Amino acid sequence: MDLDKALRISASGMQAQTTRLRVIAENLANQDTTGGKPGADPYRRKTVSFDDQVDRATGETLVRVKKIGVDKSAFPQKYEPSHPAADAKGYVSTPNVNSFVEVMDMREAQRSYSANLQVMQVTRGLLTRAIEMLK
Amino acid sequence: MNPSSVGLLDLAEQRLKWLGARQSVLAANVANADTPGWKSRDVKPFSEVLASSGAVASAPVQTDPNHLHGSVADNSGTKLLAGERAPDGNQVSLDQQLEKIAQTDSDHEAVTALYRRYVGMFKEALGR
Repeated sequence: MDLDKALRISASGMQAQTTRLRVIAENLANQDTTGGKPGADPYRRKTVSFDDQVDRATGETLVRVKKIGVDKSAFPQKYEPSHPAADAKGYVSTPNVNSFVEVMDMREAQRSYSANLQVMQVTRGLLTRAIEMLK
Repeated sequence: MNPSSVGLLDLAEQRLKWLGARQSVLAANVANADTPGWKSRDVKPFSEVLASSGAVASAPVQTDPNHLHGSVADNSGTKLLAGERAPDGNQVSLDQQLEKIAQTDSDHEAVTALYRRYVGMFKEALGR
């Protein structure tokens, strides 16, 4: 039934946004994680990309997380000779996580999640009304 | 009077089916609001579906020259301007989609209310 499809599609959207939020949480939690050894790489920012996927059995166009990739931008260098991860010149590579970017991304994930939830609530309303027709 | 000959129940059924189909298409748009390259989709307007199914919509008939002959504007097939596109090629505008969903919701409410009233009339006639 079409309304069941709509519910499943919205659920897939919510799931995809949840994964996105998880990656954002990882990035934010690790925004100060440096390498352990001198000259070692720090935490590298992760990125999420989405993809639409047609469920062949039902013809629904679901959304899924295509890939959790990494941000290849350069690590900011910080001069801190006393740090255990400092290289020969005294510089430490810090993670390429920008907390502002992450917070904005988080907001967007939140908006998309609630939009999907809203659709789900409307769909549920349609179903309930259809059932009430039997009364 | 035969209920099935009236066509209203049949019409309501078709309309509900169409609304359900539309809801799932709009849900896919919202779910894919962050998918690169996704273009907003919509179903065919109900009037076209109705015309292709061969069903005739019940329309008021002018039986007296003094009757007003107003027609209800059908805006379901309105072509909305294509939304702006994000750099990744995504074309979904969440507010536009949610507006359409709200419209689907209220249409559904109207059709179910009409259906129930109509069935209620038959119940009334049967004395139940």
